Amino acid sequence: MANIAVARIKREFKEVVKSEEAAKCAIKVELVDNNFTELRGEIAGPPDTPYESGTFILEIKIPETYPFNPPKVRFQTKIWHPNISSVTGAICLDILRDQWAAAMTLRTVLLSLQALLAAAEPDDPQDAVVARQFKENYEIYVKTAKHWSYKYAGAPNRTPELDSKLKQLADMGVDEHRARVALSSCDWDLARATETIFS
Amino acid sequence: MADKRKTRNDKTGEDGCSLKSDLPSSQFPSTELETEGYDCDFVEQFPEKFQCSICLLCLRDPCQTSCGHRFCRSCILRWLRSKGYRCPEDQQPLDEESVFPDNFAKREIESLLIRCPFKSNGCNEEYQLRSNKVHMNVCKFRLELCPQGCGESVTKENFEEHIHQTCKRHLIECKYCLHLVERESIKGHIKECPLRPYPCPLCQKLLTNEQQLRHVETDCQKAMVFCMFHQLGCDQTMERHELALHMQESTQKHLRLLCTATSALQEQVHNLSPPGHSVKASQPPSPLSKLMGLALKSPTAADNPEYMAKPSVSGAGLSLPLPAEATQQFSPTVVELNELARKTVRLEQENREMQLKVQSMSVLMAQTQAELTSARSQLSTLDARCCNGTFYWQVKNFSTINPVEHSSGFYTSYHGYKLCLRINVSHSRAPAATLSIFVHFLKSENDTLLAWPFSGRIVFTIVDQDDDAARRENIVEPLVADSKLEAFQRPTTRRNPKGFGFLDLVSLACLGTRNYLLHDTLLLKVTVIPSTTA
Repeated sequence: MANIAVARIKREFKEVVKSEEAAKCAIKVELVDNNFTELRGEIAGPPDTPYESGTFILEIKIPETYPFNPPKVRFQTKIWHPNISSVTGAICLDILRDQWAAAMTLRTVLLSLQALLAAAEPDDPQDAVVARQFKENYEIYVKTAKHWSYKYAGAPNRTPELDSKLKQLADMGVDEHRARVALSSCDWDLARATETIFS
Repeated sequence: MADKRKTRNDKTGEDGCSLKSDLPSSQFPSTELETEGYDCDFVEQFPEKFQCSICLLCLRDPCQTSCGHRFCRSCILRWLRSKGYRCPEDQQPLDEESVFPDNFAKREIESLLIRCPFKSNGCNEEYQLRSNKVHMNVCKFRLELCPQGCGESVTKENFEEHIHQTCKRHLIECKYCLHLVERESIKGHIKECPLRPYPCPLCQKLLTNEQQLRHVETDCQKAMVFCMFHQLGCDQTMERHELALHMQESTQKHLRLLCTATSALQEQVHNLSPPGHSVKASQPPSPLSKLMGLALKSPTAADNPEYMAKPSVSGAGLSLPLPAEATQQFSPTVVELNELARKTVRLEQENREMQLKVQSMSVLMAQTQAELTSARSQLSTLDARCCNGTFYWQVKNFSTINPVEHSSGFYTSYHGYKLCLRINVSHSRAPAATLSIFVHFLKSENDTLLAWPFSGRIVFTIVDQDDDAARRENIVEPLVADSKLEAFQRPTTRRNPKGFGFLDLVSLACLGTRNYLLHDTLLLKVTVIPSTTA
């Protein structure tokens, strides 16, 4: 990697570690390898959102041309969000694409992602299924997002009513995650989900 | 990889302060757009207003945008060129013309105090950023990468020492094979060097591994060896250097062993030979039995003193791999056959030798023949040259000669004209037949010395070969050369096709008279006298 990228990431790394947000445990970065090309980010689910109390892990890859090109960021923690793929964790966020500016840093990226969790943009979706649910059945979306946060991001269980449906599918021998995806995609309609799985 | 490079640069000081543009000799020549801000150890943290928000370092060649943000010159230009024309800070549209050098900031930044990048090596200097280049040239603690590529960094002062004492890439001569080997591998090399000598465990002589392989077997003086007569029963063992002494001291013992062994061998041979054919001493030994006696060492042959004198004659060479009974039954035949085979071989050998002799003889003969031929031709040439223009030609078997005959060549003098005679005889037209005689000029090596056309006189003579010189009546016909004739021009072929002479010198009838033909041999004489001017 070009010198400038390394030098910058080193400084940004320090910046994040020393930042107020880190002090409040809202954001965090860790090194994955020693050459600063790959980092592991962490953001706390913002309060008053379905992601509250969850901890979301991000995979951050620094291109050689950084900071002239944005870092490549992806959610490692599975999340139910219109702008984040529930399958791959890919993020749809303008500053990670064409609106990137060299003055942005790891800190601003992490904070922007946190803001994205708080303010989804269903009109510019990454995951069409989630976006549709968000728009057409917001309450179910909130429940689902809470359930995913509980299952994958370590948030408390605020939707125990969904567990029984999952269990029913599980009893049929369906893999838990597969069952969850099917139920989430079918607005927790057990019959439709079953059909999706077995057809 | 990139990170390693970076670390190394930090150590060397080439880039220790990210002052690449100050040090054009850097091993990573940087273009304008690849030089980020100053990454120095500032004595006091530089104010945030001097931080480039692109490289997050202290501004190098600071520039200010029309929207009021500062960047390193190279950072902002690179950004604008790669990502489109907007400010990285506030996303406002921005082009290169709206970016201006900020020399005020530059002066302030260059006045900031920094610490020498080699502080960790003991340099406690603090100086203004702008003096960095000057300091780098004098700093005693500045590390440079070893040029031999060992990866170590050393100060100038310690450089020699490093090369000669620690650099792992430095080439050191192996004291055994004299190859140059890197210091890093020299220890391993010496261990495995094929020319490294080790002491022989027995005699302590220093030898390479390869030499040691055979040393103990063949020449280690301390190696334990058996006596040479071990197989005959001498069971003494000793170090090799004692062997000679033992051989000398135990000669008698060894002879005894040899004797015993020989008798045992005789006994064995005797057991192999057929009982019916053992030769009785009283009988006069037939040639066959004599042979057998020698070949099979039958005990009766012990009478033969010659046999006794030559105990080393071994029967083993003749014994055939036949079962014992078969040997008994057929051995005379076998012996005869063996003898015949030997004879055949001997004869073949002799034959071959003879053939070779004959071959070499015939080669010699051919050579001699050739030499003789060449000598003869030389002699005749000499003859021809020395005749001084008077040439005799004995035409033998005249009555049966060809219609046209040419003589051999002759010279008018040693360096003179070369000619030959031609006679035409038409026996068929007898009795009106006549003898024609001509001279022909021949091409010779003298031609270039001579005057052409030839002028002079030619005298033909048919010699009367009467025994009584007084009664001889030669036929003599002189001629004067006519230089206009083609016959007297310089010959262009081996022999001038045109001749000069008499078409009807004499009739064959006339030749029959007197003694012109003696024993059917005609003797012709020609004298060619070139005119003195020639």
